[in-house]
Amino acid sequence: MHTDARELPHGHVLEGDVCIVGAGAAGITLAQALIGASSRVILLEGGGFDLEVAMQGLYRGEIVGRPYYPLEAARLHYFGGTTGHWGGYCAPLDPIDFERRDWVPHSGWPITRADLDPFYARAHPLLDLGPYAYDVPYWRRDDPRRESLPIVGERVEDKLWQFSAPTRFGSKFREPIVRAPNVHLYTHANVVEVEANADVTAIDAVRVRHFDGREQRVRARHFVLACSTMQNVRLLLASNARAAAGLGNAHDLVGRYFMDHLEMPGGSAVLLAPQSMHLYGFDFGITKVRAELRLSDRRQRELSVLNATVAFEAPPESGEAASTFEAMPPDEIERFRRETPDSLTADMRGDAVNYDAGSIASRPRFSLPIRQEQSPNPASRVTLGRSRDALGLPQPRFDWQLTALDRRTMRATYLAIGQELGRSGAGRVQLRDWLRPDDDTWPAMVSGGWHDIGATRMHADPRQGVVDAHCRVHGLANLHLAGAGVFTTSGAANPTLTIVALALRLADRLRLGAG
Amino acid sequence: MDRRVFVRHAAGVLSALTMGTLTGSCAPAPALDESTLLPHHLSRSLGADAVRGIGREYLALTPRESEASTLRAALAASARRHDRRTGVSSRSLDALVAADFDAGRTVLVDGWLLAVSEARQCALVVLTAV
Repeated sequence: MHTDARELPHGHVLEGDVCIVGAGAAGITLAQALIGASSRVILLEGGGFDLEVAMQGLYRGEIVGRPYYPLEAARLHYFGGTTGHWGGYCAPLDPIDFERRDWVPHSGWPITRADLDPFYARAHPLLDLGPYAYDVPYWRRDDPRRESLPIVGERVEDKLWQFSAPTRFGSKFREPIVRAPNVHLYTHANVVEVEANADVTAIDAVRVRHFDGREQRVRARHFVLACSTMQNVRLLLASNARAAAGLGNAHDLVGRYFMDHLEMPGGSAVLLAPQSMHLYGFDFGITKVRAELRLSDRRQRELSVLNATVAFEAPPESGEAASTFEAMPPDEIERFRRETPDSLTADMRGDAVNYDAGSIASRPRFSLPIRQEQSPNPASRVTLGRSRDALGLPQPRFDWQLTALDRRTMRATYLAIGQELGRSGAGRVQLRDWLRPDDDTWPAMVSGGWHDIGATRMHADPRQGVVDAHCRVHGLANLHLAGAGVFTTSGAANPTLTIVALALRLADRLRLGAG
Repeated sequence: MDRRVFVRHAAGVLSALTMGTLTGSCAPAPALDESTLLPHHLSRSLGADAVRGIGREYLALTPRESEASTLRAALAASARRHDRRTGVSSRSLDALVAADFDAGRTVLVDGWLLAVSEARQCALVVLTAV
């Protein structure tokens, strides 16, 4: 069922069993997983079925500290959420990403990769991926041209990505959700407050507000905030009627440990001998699987560095390779958005450069962009600013901060790969000028991957995390969080597959009555 | 080779290098076929200009190796170390380069992570205009 919440009268109260706030990858995954369950599911989406300027403007915020991409550009505020313009990159987090690593402060999830494996497998059909297989031998049987570089071995490994179409959740799941008898979708239903009970041990309701000031309330037995990392933080911090510091924030952790992937063109490589690069090539919309290079777990321990992957891409025709943020200036984003919701990704269908062994001789150079885990840093945080949006909710104040470990990791990773390329005779690596000094300096714009991660992290100890191993907010019996905000560490893999897997795991729990 | 003899020998080589740098005198003649030591692999892939640029920067980074004789002696010493370790006579840059990378004897020149041997050879190209 679907209702445009703007049609509801002021003061109306909705009742359900499970209230999901946000219909992006996480919220839609939850809702579709609960289709046919005995629960009455209320799915609240602040936007409509199409992008609207006024709705998108609600995501504006203040950026302090390190320069970052405009906040309203990265996340999409409509049914389907940011799947409306994501690139389709899918890979599970590595087992080491979940481990406590003594060289990575604040690392260590309360769950393991093995805990998530069944849900990763279930996530694959939702994202229109192939089988849950991320080993090269499997994909080489599918296509023998997928050969690893000679450096792959004990120190350097292939990390595989599969590519979703990319699946637009708003398109794929609209009809199943609207048709589901036990799920009621409300669009244009922006939640401005999460209302706790008197002793702040559970949530009674959420309050919806419209631009004209009308409001409704939604009561349920269980609530899930799934409106993206930054918006979840805003809601928790702003819902301070009964908890002065905000909900789930008894230990001042809500908003802290914000992480993004560092996506930077930190180096390039030249290959000295013919190599089949088929495994490492990428043709948007066509490539099913592709490898990037990562340092083995053992090598990461030896060097005390974070996880990262390095890709092989065609170098630019001229000049230096651009970072993710540089390659897509904000005004370009706006232009794409005014055209069609899909046009951002459509523009990524550029000229594919397919390298085979023979072409190395004439085109031996590659750009080596890195996608790197960010070290969890409590000083990297989202708080509430002084300004308010059109619904009266405080805008976010975003202070992205990096650590020396982030800088050291990036340099060490390129050098380690360079050493292996040199040892094998396969090639040589060249660092970009800003990465050559062995210090803590960064260029003016350090690019993220538009992945909002952490800020409501998972930890068994409420003094170290906002949610427990089941994504339930510590101290609040019936409030769960979904999305990349619950990640304890970011890993190096794009977050969408893990977001969907965690949402499926949470859905199973909600089916059982949330324990 | 007895360890004490090896240490004396290594010290002698180092001394010869040092002497060579200070006085400009030639180190012992290398036992290498120089025609096989040209960084052809880099020239093919990076171009001759890039190789010379690397050579110039290496010379700027290591002023104590600014003489062709010093560089030849250093390469010869590397070859002898390699031969002793592997029991195989190294006559080509490839073997020295691989050994350098394996041992972590690398240098960052113009952003390129190179084996010390090949960086020295690029420098030699500049000094001898090969």
